[in-house]
Amino acid sequence: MKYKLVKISKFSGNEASVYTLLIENEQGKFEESLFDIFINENKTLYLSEIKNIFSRLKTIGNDTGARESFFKTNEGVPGDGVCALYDSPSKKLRLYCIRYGKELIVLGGGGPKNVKALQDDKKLKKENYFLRWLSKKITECIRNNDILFSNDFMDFEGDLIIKDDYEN
Amino acid sequence: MKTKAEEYNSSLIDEIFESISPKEEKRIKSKMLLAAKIEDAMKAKGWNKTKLLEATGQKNPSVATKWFSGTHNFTFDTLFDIQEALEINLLNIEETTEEVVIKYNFVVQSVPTIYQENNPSRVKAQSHSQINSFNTSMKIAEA
Repeated sequence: MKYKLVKISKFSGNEASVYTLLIENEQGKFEESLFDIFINENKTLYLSEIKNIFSRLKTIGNDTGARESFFKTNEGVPGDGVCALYDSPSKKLRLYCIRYGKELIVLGGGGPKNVKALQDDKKLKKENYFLRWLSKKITECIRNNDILFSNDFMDFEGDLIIKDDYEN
Repeated sequence: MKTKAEEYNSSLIDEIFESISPKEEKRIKSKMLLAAKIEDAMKAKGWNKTKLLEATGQKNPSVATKWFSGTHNFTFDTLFDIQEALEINLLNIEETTEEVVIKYNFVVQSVPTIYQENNPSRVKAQSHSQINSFNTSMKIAEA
């Protein structure tokens, strides 16, 4: 399976770029994004939280940049940049992201967190561990010069298709 | 070759965006800008979270993380304490009068007396032109 990094224009602005991942379907086309799947899975029960996250992402892109303090950090392994975005700490919904400084974030999936440790919830664990894997793959691609940062660090450039299969 | 990222949007993203009220969007943005302003002012003072908490009389170390998260609902007292500690304006409640100062420059040419005596007609014409140009400047400044 292949994955393609794409930039979500509606959230991206002068302060930060917001990316997500398109997943290759059986016909070999890149159509649905991880972020769209996240919205579809949660819009019935958590619409107000999704709207809040939308507004936060728009402000991050256009006004504040992806400040570390806006995210729950250290949600992955040390140094992989995996973090979570939420409405407020008391709310349940978590959206996992990979943060590359204040300039760029990659949105993944997520879900409601009703447990203390994410590993206690199958769905959250799956989403979180996929982003850990993705972060590792992006780092490998950067090391091999397949993916580069633009001069202002606001964009990825190069071959933005991740070709490896994710092994759960 | 450097290939740029493809721009992506979806009807689902548009649909959610359209359902967000401008007031709610502004509320969330304001919360985040307030958090950013406090954090920036703290850093500009060379303080860390511990120092800020000391200066505002807070005891719980996790409070600062909440303040900077951009999700916190501040009380008036907390904002007042932060404002006083960081010497910044967060509440903006005092009426202020704004003093507007308009400055303009004009050049006054002085003509040596000896030149005036030798060229009385030219001096008269030149003075007339200077007065006109001065009046024009005054009108612009007054407008």
